[in-house]
Amino acid sequence: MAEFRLPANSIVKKGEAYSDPNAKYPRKMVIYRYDPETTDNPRLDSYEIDLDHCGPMVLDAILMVKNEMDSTIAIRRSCREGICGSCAVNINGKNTLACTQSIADIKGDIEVYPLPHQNVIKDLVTDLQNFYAQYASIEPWMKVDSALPADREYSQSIEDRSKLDGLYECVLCACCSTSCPSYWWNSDRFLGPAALLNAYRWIVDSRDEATGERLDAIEDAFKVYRCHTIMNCTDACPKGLNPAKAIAGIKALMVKRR
Amino acid sequence: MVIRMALGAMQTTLAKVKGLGSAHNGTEHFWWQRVSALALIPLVLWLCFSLASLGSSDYNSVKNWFDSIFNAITASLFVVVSLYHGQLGMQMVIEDYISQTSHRLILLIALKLGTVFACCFAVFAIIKLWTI
Repeated sequence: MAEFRLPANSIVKKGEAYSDPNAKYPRKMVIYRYDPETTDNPRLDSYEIDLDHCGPMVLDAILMVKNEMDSTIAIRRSCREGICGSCAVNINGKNTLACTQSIADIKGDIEVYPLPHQNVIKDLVTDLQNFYAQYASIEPWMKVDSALPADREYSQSIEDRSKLDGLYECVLCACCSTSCPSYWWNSDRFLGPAALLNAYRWIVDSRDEATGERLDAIEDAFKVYRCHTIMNCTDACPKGLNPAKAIAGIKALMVKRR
Repeated sequence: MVIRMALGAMQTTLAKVKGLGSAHNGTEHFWWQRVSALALIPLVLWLCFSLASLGSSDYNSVKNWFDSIFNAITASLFVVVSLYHGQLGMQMVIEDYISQTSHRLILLIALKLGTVFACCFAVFAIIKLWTI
């Protein structure tokens, strides 16, 4: 029923320590290291970085370590300004984007782990196949059966357009879903806050004609109702969105049409 | 509700995620869990008030108290609604934490049957107290 003993290779060991004797403003950063292709256990390597030569964000520090101290660290990153959602990691216990997390806002050592409860491909890079497939499963595109209007545009009132605010900004970084305990236990069936927020984004879009079908597709004790309003998703979202509210909106529509 | 499809290793991730599709359930559970919670507010207040007023009464005065149809019916309602609400909550807990299908099924069946038994038992006890 339950596994009381963790697998032997899940025990995180102490790794190597890299120091910088010439650092003017030293700061200790601890990074989770794991390569599942080896038989080695995960380890925590520590790096003493010099804030005098480092940009303000945690991603800047990770890249400085990778460029100057240890090139073997694996991390995803692209835009380094909070738009691409690639560099989502767990920093000091909270899922967030490394590129928008300021070092100055962190007390004590900077601790960087991969997103929780995902299979690690290497170091800070996790396998998000399931997460992306869940996003694809909610069919995130506009579905319209009516003929295209003469001016080739589907009109939307300012009021209806404002319903998409707080939803369309999602960058699919997976901070919310991987912070959700329900998602940890049942991610094979629970769609998770990110996919559900995006489902709601299309459900409330006044131009979309598949609202009922969309609700049909997710009305399921596991796909939606594993959400117990824990609110970790809202707490984690680096874009300040509120997936818990979107899921509550889905549930309200489910009740409305019953 | 609880049966997991045997997933082939050759399936795409999307096929695994889509699985057996939507079971079109969960909304009634969600709705009645909230309705029963609302119903429990006056029932629990009534229970607290009743327990306080009964205090350390002896057997006969408690039995006399149950002679009132209102008290007997409200006590039955409290037992039935609270057990119903409790089993809805326990169902969630089992579905959340028990991942092995066979264990989950056995526990859910035991929960449902156990709740029906407890309801019948409690209501029968109240009726018996009322008719002695």
